[in-house]
Amino acid sequence: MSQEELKQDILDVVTNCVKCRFCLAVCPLLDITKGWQGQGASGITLAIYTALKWEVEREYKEALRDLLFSCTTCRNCVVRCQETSVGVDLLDAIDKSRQFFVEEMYGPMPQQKKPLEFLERYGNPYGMLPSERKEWMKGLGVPDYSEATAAEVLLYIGCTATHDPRIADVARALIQLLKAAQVKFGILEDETCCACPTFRLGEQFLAEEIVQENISKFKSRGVKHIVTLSPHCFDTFLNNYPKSEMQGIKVQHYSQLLRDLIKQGRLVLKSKVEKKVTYHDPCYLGRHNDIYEAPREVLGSIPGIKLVEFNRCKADSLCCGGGGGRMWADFEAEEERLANIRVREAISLGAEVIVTACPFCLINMEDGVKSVGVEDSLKVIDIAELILSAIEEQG
Amino acid sequence: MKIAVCVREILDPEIPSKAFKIDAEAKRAIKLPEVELVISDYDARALEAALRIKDSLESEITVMSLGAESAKDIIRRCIAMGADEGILVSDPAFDDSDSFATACVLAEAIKKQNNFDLILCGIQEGDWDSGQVGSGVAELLGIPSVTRAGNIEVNDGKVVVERVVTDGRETVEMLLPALVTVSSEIGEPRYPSIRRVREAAKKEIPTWTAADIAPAIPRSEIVSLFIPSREAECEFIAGESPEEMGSNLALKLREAKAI
Repeated sequence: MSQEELKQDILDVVTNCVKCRFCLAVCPLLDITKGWQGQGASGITLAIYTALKWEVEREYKEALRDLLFSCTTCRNCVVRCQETSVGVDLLDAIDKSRQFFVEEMYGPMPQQKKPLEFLERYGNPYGMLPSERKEWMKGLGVPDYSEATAAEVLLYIGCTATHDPRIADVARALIQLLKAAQVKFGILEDETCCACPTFRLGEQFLAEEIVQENISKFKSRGVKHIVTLSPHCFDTFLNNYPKSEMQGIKVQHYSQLLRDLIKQGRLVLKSKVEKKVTYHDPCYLGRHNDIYEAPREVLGSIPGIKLVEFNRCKADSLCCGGGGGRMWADFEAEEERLANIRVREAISLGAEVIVTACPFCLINMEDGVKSVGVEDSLKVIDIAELILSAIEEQG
Repeated sequence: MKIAVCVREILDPEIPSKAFKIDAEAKRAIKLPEVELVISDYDARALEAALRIKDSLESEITVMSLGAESAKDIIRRCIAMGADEGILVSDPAFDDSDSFATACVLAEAIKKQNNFDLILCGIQEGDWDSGQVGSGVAELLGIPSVTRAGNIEVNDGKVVVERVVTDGRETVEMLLPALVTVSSEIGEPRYPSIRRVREAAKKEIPTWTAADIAPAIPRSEIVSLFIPSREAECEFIAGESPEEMGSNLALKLREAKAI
């Protein structure tokens, strides 16, 4: 898409905004900034609209860039607008504005340049060399995925699990569960990024290159069913990859597969987990893809568990702060971290455990627990880890 | 306004340290196949300084690099960022150039082009960190130079440089032509989109060889090259209370003659 077409698209979307400001009430950025209108939701898109319509100086564009790339892309504004106003897709305007800014070389944020450069050089946003990434697989006993290995499911681990030891624990727990349920699965030894960070940071051209590489990998290996560890990979495969190219490939988040395995009796949850837990909805599972029930059904199958809901849950869930490329940037205007707010909300519910199903949420929330100073009373774990503890006596 | 920016291709400094290997006999770093070559970050900042001048003043930027054929990729990346053209100086005869020989070759290349108002270099190389090439080029060209620029402004045939010093900044004014070495404080280099990078990949980059520019004799020699070994032990100091842990730590440190 040319710059002119992008600009026109952004103006067209934002023109439909009636400035009712209903979206501002649900924008998480207003929870952590001074709450100026321009610091959230339609305030950001209106600022971009003004800049594009009436051409502003470079120094203002840099300030606009900071606002634009601070968006968590949690999609709360879009849902609110659909429910209570005219249904403008502000996130579409945000995505396209990021593309526009990157092409003009005003974006992304300085700290977000490295992940993009690493993606181009090494196929992941963390700068891991391909051989280093493979090290993670050693000793796992999981075959490289190919039709020849008779694998039915391609488990797409994602970059964060191969980089962050804490998320590697989650991946190992999931692998143990799939083995316990006798799922025939494999991993791509040459797995690279799904392209999520490139899409979120407005690097459309690189994103499209990565997509094509992955699609040809899936096709050459005869992939029919992908299960992802991260909701971000899940959303990217589902909503950013061309539907025509992904035809015949079923894409699931692992919480959906676990639900199916429990229903089919392939995973039997015997051990009691007598804990008061609350489930944090990851934005890219919930609001982006309407998956609210699968993880709750999985949790509901655990004997002894007591599930309490956050006041802001499901479509109203508060973002952990990790979406939209924010895992690689800090924003000066922010006075608090969203994960800290979420941790305090969990404490007020009397929860002993926050359960989530996303690497970014887990990392941010664990940081939140430390930063709020409640490590003794509140734990953050992934659904896969909780299920593993519930089947441990099995076989 | 004609600006030359000298850039250098180096091994990606972001790779994990265990992937950094050297050939002690040849006294060179080894490039593993999966490790990429990138533009030295200081040089990217020198280019950013040039681009900021170009943002406000009509300018033409030429990127010059002494290096292997592969350095054409970083020159093209500079073009994707907004430079107008690039020249590679490459020949096996330049292979063992030290900072002095590099400065001689670059100075000759700049003289051959003979039309630059301002020459920008990174404060130092991103690999050897010697920081001598920029000043060397200025000396050989017989033009004034200022090192460690945190900000550069050009007006009325003069360049005003904010120089980063230990206790603040000093402002220096020079008549053009002049050379400035650029420090990190200039700010982050802009990110060229991959669309721009792929577009610039089509650009032809001329190569000047030893037939165009005479190689210089290096004045220094690497006597030995090695990766220093580091050993670290971690010991947790026990104690019933934080105070006891503190005093046990102090005793340990005294025992180790650290305090």
